[in-house]
Amino acid sequence: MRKNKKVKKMDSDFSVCTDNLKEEIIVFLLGQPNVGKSSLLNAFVGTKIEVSNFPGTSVEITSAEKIFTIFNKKDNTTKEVKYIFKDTPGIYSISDRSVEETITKKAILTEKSDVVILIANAAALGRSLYFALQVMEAGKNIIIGLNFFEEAYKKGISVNTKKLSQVLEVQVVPFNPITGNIDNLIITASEKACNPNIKNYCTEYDDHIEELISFIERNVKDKLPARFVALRILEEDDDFTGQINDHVKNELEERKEEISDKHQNIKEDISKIRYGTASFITEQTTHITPLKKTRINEVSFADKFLLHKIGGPILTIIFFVCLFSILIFAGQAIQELFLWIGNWFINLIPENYWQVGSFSFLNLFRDGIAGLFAGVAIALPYVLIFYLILGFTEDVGLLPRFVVIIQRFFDSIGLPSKSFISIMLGLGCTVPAHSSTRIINRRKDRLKTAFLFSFIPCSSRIGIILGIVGFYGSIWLALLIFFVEFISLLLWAVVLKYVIREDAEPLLIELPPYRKPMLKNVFAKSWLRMKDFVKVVIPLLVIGGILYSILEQLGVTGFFIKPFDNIMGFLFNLEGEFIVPLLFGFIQKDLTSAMLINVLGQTGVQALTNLKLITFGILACTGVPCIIALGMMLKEYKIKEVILIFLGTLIYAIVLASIIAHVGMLFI
Amino acid sequence: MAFSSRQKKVKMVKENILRVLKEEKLDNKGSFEEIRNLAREPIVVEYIGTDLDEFFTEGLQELSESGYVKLEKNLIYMTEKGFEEANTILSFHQIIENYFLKDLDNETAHRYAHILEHLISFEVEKNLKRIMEFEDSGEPLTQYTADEGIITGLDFTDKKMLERIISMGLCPGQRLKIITKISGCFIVKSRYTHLAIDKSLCKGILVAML
Repeated sequence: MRKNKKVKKMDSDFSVCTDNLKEEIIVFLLGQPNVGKSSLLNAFVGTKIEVSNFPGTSVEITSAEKIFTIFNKKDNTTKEVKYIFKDTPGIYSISDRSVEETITKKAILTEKSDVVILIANAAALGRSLYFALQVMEAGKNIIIGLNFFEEAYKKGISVNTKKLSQVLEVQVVPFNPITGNIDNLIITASEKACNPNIKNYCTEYDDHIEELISFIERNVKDKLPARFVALRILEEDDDFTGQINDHVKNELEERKEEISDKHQNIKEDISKIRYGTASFITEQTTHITPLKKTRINEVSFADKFLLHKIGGPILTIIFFVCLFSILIFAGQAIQELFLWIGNWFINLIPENYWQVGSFSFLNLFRDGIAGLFAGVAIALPYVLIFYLILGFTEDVGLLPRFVVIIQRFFDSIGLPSKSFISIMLGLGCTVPAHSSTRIINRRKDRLKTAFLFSFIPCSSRIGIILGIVGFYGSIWLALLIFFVEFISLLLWAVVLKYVIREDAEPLLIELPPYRKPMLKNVFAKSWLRMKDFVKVVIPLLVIGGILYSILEQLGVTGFFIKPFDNIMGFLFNLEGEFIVPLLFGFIQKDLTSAMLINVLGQTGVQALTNLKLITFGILACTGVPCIIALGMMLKEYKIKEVILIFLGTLIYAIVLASIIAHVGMLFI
Repeated sequence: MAFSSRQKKVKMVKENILRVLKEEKLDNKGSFEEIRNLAREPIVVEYIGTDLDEFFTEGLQELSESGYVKLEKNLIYMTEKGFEEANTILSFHQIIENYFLKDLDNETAHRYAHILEHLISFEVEKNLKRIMEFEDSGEPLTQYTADEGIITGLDFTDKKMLERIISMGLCPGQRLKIITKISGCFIVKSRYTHLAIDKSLCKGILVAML
């Protein structure tokens, strides 16, 4: 669970009217995917959480705290109340098909909350209510937050919140996290948290199912409502079926058998009745005004092209060509500028000053700054540009469309289409990409995707390819490395398809409406993703530069490098020095470029042959990228699986680089 | 089984009063006691419980306020507006009963119709009517040729997948518009959302012409 420990005090406050205002309130945010939970959390506590326009942005529970100063009208007192908000991964129903669903289900069933804000989409109320009805069955102290109210209104859909509130017997509060219209929601949630009332609307099933529910209710004991437990048992939830003994189980089966002519599939009938109830309530509480030319009935202009049989794949290819072109041209221009500034600054620092014997302390500073500038100049432009484009793509709602377009291609190589979202994130950073595989339902599919991350260059690796190989060699060499990585990915995907024989999970995904990207959100998200670069990588770049300077000035670098001379020469036709950036790269990939400059100097890197640049690029950009990614893998998968992926891809990288180095010698 | 919501109980009583006024050949009028006794059908009593009289009074009051009936002395007159509403209720009842008669015995079908006529919406009623008119139970979405249709059934062995499909709004009775077919997927519009569904899943979604 991510946790933002810092507690901030808010300048403004709000008023409530309640008898017993608590000192601490735990608020759960629940809802279907892409319904605005993370946006709401950001509106509550400030921009700290990534928000995107595609389902599955949150794959773990995010906890954030904030102290509000609240005026209680009841007793005219002001009090500071600590709110703990918990944002859960979006799910369509209480189920455990995927890891994210299991996380949310566990949170609903086991974690303590004072109030649950169930966020519903005003434009798709029926679907939101299906999940809401389930949460109500679980006996939660709930209020409903209605998001996209204005968006629905523009489509001619208006929700009668008063009537909805009466029918469901819970408060329904419209809100808009973007405009900051959240005051009523937090006030209602606070009052509900202090005066819990869990007399929720109860979905009625037909009398045969109700009889079964009553029978189970009499035979279970649980902290959760007996009716909810009974329903979970009838819905064949493995977490609950063990709560009734064999005798009750047998009797239940007999009772099911008796009504089998009317209910062949009780689980299905429960779902249908629940959805029917949700639809019924929606129709009773929603008014639809037919619009002259309503966009909801038409395919949007963009989708006419993007979801076209031929246009879709062409536009996808164009998108990626543009993405890499921007990375190459804009990235290299910024890199050149940074390097020029860096060199200018370094030249201001005199060499061999403040010496004790041959050891210069000023040189330490000089090398530290050189490492910093080299790392920042080579990595930062590519990382920043990629995250800005990714943020834009996510917010517009393009990612799910790409998932659909590449579906057939991914299917042919045995990958689930949803892994495309993880792969896109992997082009940014492998660490969140590993956790994003939770949206993939089948474990084997998750492992396949995790293995293939070894061949997907993260933005730091893109920095190495474009900033070292492309910048000091030629852009064609950089493209050759991308090509080799792509072929490796395809090769391994096909191999895994036959080793792990299982059909890919069929695609079922919601296509969110296109939304105008908010620059503030795109920049905020890019900053969140870049934060580690600033906080972790920049100090590491300085430390790396200083460390290498100490070793060099003490004349001991040879001691560390010499043992690798033979092996690097034998395997890759590279000098022993290359081991330094590769090893530092395992700590943090951005250090690879900086340390290469530190070890060889800019002129040394410029003097490298094309073959050496390619070999080094392949070695640096294949396999498990860094120790942080390795840590995330250990969190997400079993240790045996991680060892297999780590060693498998390491051996492949060594063999591949070795073949390129030796075969290349024949041609160059 | 008892209804949890007061509104639902009142609604059921109100509709039953209108149905009795229309169906029991009372010439659209009847005395308070007469209507109350006729509306006291066993199934209504079973569902509402012992508070039926209280709900009857409340329901009658609401019908009068809405202009469906007129109360004069001890007589209840059905207005033209009430007559139209009663026709709708009877039509709902007949449609639902016919639908269930396909699989259930007369008594059970009648019983189901009595319960659902008060709960079902106009949209669902329209769709049920259409489903009944189909000679077959629809065809898989993959073989369906028209642009729009109505889901008549779901044929899935994976029960968790079935629940996911229903929770995403693909439920029998639901209208569906096929937007396009691309890359082994069907892009459909269900209510106000667009969904991409793999072809293999589409085989289990049975659809018939509207």
